[in-house]
Amino acid sequence: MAKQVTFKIKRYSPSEDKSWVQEYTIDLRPGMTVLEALWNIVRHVDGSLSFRYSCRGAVCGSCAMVINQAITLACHTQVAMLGTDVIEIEPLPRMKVLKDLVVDIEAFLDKYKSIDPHLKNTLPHERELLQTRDSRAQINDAVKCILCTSCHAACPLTAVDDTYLGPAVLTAAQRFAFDDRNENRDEILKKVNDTEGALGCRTVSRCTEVCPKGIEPSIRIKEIKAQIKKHANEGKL
Amino acid sequence: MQHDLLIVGSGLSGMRAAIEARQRGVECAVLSMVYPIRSHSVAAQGGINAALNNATDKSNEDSWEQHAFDTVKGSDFLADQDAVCVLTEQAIPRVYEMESWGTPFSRLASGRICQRPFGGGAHARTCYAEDRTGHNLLHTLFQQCLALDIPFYQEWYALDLVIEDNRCAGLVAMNMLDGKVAAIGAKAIILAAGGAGRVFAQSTNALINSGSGIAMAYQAGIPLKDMEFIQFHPTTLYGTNILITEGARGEGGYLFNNKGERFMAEYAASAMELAPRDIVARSIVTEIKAGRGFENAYVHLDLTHLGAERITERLPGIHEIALRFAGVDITREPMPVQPGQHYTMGGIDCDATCKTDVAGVYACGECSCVSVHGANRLGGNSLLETLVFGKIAGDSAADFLGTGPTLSGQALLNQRSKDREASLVRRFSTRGDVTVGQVYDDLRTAMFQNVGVYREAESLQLACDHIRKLKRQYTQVGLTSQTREFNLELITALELEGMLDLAQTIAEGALRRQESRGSHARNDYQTRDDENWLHHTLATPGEDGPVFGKKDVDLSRWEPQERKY
Ligand SMILES: Cc1cc2nc3c(=O)[nH]c(=O)nc-3n(C[C@H](O)[C@H](O)[C@H](O)COP(=O)(O)OP(=O)(O)OC[C@H]3O[C@@H](n4cnc5c(N)ncnc54)[C@H](O)[C@@H]3O)c2cc1C
Ligand code: FES
Repeated sequence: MAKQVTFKIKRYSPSEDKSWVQEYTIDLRPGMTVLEALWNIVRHVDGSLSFRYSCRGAVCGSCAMVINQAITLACHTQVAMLGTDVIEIEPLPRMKVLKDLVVDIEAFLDKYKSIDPHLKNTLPHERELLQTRDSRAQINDAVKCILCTSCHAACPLTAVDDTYLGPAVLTAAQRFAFDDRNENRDEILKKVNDTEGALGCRTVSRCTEVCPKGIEPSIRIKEIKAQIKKHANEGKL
Repeated sequence: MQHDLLIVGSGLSGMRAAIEARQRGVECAVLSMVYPIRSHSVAAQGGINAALNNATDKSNEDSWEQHAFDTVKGSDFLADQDAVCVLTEQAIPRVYEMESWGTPFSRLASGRICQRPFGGGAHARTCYAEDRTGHNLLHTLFQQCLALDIPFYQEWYALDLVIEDNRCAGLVAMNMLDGKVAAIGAKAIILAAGGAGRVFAQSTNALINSGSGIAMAYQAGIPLKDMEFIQFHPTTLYGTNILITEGARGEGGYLFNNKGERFMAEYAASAMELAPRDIVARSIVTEIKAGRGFENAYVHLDLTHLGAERITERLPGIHEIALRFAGVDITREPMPVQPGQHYTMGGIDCDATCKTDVAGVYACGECSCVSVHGANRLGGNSLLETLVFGKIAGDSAADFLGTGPTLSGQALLNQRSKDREASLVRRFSTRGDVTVGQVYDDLRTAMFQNVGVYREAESLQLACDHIRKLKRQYTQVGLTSQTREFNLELITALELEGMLDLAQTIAEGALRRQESRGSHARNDYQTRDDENWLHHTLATPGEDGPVFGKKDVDLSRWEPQERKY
C-alpha cells in the first residue's frame, strides 16, 4: 500500500470571510511535490481548494507559500523530503489573503512599478549595445528574480512599514542601477535613496534565507547602498 | 467593458503584440489567466535564433537565408516558405530590439550576444541568456508594458470568442477570483494563448497550457491547421518531465544507452546528438524499446566531461533542476532523460500577417499556425516566432482598426455571456459519478500512449474511439465543489472540454495522414509521401467531430528534398 500523508491546510473563504484549517489525507507517490499533492486534492478530493500555479518548475514564481513553517515554492518541494507525515500549509504571511493560499500581490506590484523598472535606451534599436562580461556579471543575481514575493513576505520591515519597498523591489532596483546599458541608472538610485528604499534595510536578511533562487537580496541592497554613497561622494546625488 | 483591441494571452507573443499596437496609438488591453510573468514563455531555456554572426568566423558566415533553409528542411518541407523568410529575416531586428529594451543576454568576450549551436542549424545562431532565455525575455517585455501603461485583466479566463457575420464582436470571460462571467466588446482580438501541451501526459509544458485559446477559436468555427504535428522533446527529466534544454547537447552533452554507447551514431552519424528533435526522440524510444534503456524508461545524458565550471556558467538552471527534482549532480554524474511532449506545431489557421478568416481576429505565437514550423519545429525558432509574429499581429490589428470599423455584434455577445452563465450554473448542479480529474487523467494518458512519438493505424483508431467515449462521459462530469471563487476544479473542467476537442483534431488528423513527416512518425507508413500529403491539414468543427480539409503549402523557394542529417 502507498504511504499516506496528511495535509493541514489553512483555508479562507472571502464570501463568508471565514478561515479554518482543513485536513486531507492522500497517497504519496515517489517524487511527489507539494504542488502535485495540492492538485491531487483538487482533482480527486476537494475541488474548492485554491492556490496559484503555472510552470511547476520553479521559474514562474506562482506558488510561494508556507510549508511546515518555511516560506518556499510548492513546486520544488518534494513531500518525502519534508520528513513529516503531517504537513502544514499556509498562505504567505503578511499579505492579504484572497482565497485559501492565494494572496494579493497588487500592492507589491505597485511598489515594483514605482521604481520604473525598465531599461531606458535612446540609441537606435537596430543593433546591439555591447556589454562586458564583468558588467553583465554585476546583475547576474538580480535578473534571476522570479517575483515570487517570498522575500517580500518574509521581511520583518515590510511587515511593520507599509511604505518600505522591500527586498524584491530593491533587487530590481539593483538590476537597473548596475546595468551599464541603462540611461536611467542615476534616477533609479535617487528613487531608492531614502528609508522607504535601500536605506530602510536593516540587514536582517530573512530575504536571503528564503529566496528560492539564491539571489541574496540583502547583499544586492548593500550594493545599492554602496553605490549611493559613492555617487554622493562624487556629488552626483 | 469594451476595447478597440483585446489581446488574449500575456506570454511573449501577447505582450509583443500589445507593445506594437500601443506604439501605433491603438487603445488595447491584455487578458490572461495568470499574471504576465507567470506565462509559460518564462520557462524557455535554450535560446532564440537569429543569424547575427556573433559566433561565426568570416569564412563560414551565417545568413537569414541559411536560417530559412534550415527551418524549411527541419519542417520536413511542410512550412510555408514565404512565411519562414519573414521569420528569419525579421529575427535579426527583433533580437536587437529585445537587447535594446534591456534583455540581459549572455555575453561574448567581445561584448556581443552569445550564440550557440542548436539541433538542425548549420551555424551557432541560437542567442541565449544562460539557460533562462525565456525568463529574461518575458520579464523585459513585462517591464516595457509597464512603462507603456498597458492595462491587464489578470487572472481572467477567456471562455468564448464571439463572432457575428464573420466579424469579431468580443469575448466572454470569467474573472477567476470571483467566478463572475462578463462580456467584453472588442473591434479586434489577437489570440496569443499558447500551446496545448497538457493534452498529453509527460509534457514539458506549464500546467496552464491546455490549449484553451486554440479550442476557443475552433469552437467559434475558425479552422485549425496541422494539429497532428506534435513535437516530442528528446530530453525531459525522468520523473517530472521538466525540460532539459537542447542547449545541454549544444554545449557538448552526450547521450548514452545502458551499454555505454553513444547510440546517436547509429541514427545520425554526422549530426549525432544535435540532429533535429524528432530524430533524436525516435532514436531514444527505439533504444529503450530494444532493451538498451535504463529501467525500461530512460537513457543517460552526460555532461560531466564538460567540467563543472562550464556547466555552472552556461547551464546553471539545468544544474539546479537536476539537483532539485532528480537528486542528480550533473557535474559528477549523468542525468536520466526520456522524450516528452513539448510543442504544438499546429494551431489556429492564419497567414503570415496573422490574419484568420474572420475580420478582426488575429492569432500569433504557439497557439497559431502560420506555418513556420511545418511538421517539426527547430529549437530556438518558437521564441523567435512569438516576437516576430507578435509584432506583426499588433501591426495587422492596428491597420485594421485604422480603417475605422465600429463595434458590432454586441447583442449576440451579451446573449452568449448569459448562455455561459447558465451553462456554469448547470455544471455546478450536475451530479455525475465521474470526476473531472478522472477524465482529465484518462485523456492525457491515452494521448501519450496512442498518439505519441511513434504512431500506427491501430493505436490511433483506439485513441479516436476512446476520445469519443470520454466526450460522452464528460457530459456527465460533476463538480465536487460549489464555490465560484478561484475554483481550480471548474477551470480544469473548462479546460478539459477544449482538450477533448483538440485531442480529436490531433488523433483523427494523425490517423488520416498516411505518411511519416517530421514529428509525425507512422510505423505503418514509414516514408514521406509528397505526392499525396504535401499539404496542410485543416480541421473545422462538424456535427459529429472534426471535418477535415486541406490547404496548399508555399514552396516558392526550395524544392522538397530528402531530409538527412
Ligand atoms: C520548457 C520549455 C522550454 C522551451 N524553450 C524554448 C527555447 O529555448 N527556445 C524556443 O524558441 N522555444 C522554447 N520553447 C517554446 C516557447 O517557450 C513557447 O512556444 C513560447 O514561449 C510560447 O509563447 P506564447 O506567447 O505563444 O504563449 P505562452 O507564453 O504560453 O502564453 C500563453 C498566454 O495565454 C494565456 N492563456 C491561455 N489560455 C487562456 C485562457 N483561456 N484565458 C486567458 N488567458 C489564457 C496564459 O495565461 C498566457 O499568458 C520552450 C517550451 C518549453 C515548454
Ligand atoms: S509553479 Fe511556477 S514557481 Fe512553482
